Amino acid sequence: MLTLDEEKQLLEKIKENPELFGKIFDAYYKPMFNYIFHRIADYDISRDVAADTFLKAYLNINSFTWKNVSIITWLYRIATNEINYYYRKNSVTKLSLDLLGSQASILFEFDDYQTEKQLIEEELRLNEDFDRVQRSLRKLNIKYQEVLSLRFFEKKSLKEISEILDKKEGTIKSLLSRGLDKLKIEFNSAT
Amino acid sequence: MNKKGIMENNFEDKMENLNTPNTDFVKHQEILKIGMMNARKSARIGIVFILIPMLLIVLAYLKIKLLIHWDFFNRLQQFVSNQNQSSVLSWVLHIIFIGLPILAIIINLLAITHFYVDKLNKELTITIRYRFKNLIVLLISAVLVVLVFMYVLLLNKV
Repeated sequence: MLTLDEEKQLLEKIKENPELFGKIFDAYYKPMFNYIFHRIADYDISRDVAADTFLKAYLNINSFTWKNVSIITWLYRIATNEINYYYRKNSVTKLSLDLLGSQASILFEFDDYQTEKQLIEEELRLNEDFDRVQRSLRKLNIKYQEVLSLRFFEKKSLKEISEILDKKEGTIKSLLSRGLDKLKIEFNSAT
Repeated sequence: MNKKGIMENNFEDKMENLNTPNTDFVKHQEILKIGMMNARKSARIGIVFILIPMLLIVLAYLKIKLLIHWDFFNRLQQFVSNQNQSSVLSWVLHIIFIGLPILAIIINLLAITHFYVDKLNKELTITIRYRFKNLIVLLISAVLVVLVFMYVLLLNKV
């Protein structure tokens, strides 16, 4: 993780040398992938969404205006929009995401794709409760999914969620409260 | 903690203590980073690769269409069309006028395309990302390759 000062200096340097964006990529890829995976629960799709998130950030980094808020907040916002876009695009599959499990694999890669995918799927199996909560969460409206996942999966504070989603803290609080009730109902009726 | 456990206790507290899958071990980002950071480089390298053939085409256009004769181009044209070149020089010219633009096409195509296999529906999906610079270089390279091929064909007929 970078400090706010480091981020500010880095952003200045990126304006002259865009390739320094690699440092932001290195510092924040893992937490962003983690967030995306917690929202989507599919390795392949999460990789794609993470790639789109960082590509968008890379292409728009010079339009980012420094407001003393960590760049990760901006990355969370882009990732959230990308996830929402993915769900809108796949509104039919949203209802039965089981179908999507591992349907997309990337060709022409020489990394340990299969091993990594198996490890992630194993992680999901080990966290059975998370898997159940996640399945119930996906049935809720996107606005509830956003706040609930940021609060309970990413352990973000109300202030952080309000910065990421660009909504008032009061709005976040009420979305959380209503969302939690809805999630509880979904979760209890799941089996 | 099982589902029954969650139901029995306070749901919010349980959500607060919910364990989430850890994905910190992922390494795939290295490949992603190379592809992403190299997109601009691909466009730049592509421009270098097509610079000489592009110059030749522009000069040819100036000579044929606008009737602007430059001695430099006349000499270059003679040099390129010379049938008595050594085989090494002939290969170098082929590489510059055909090889490099084709290489520029390949590099920029790889920078903007992604391939997915949909195992469930047995489909291959090819996605082309909209990256203006790469697309422009790709387009110019393709036009250059076509023009150079046409030039070579006409030269052989004559």
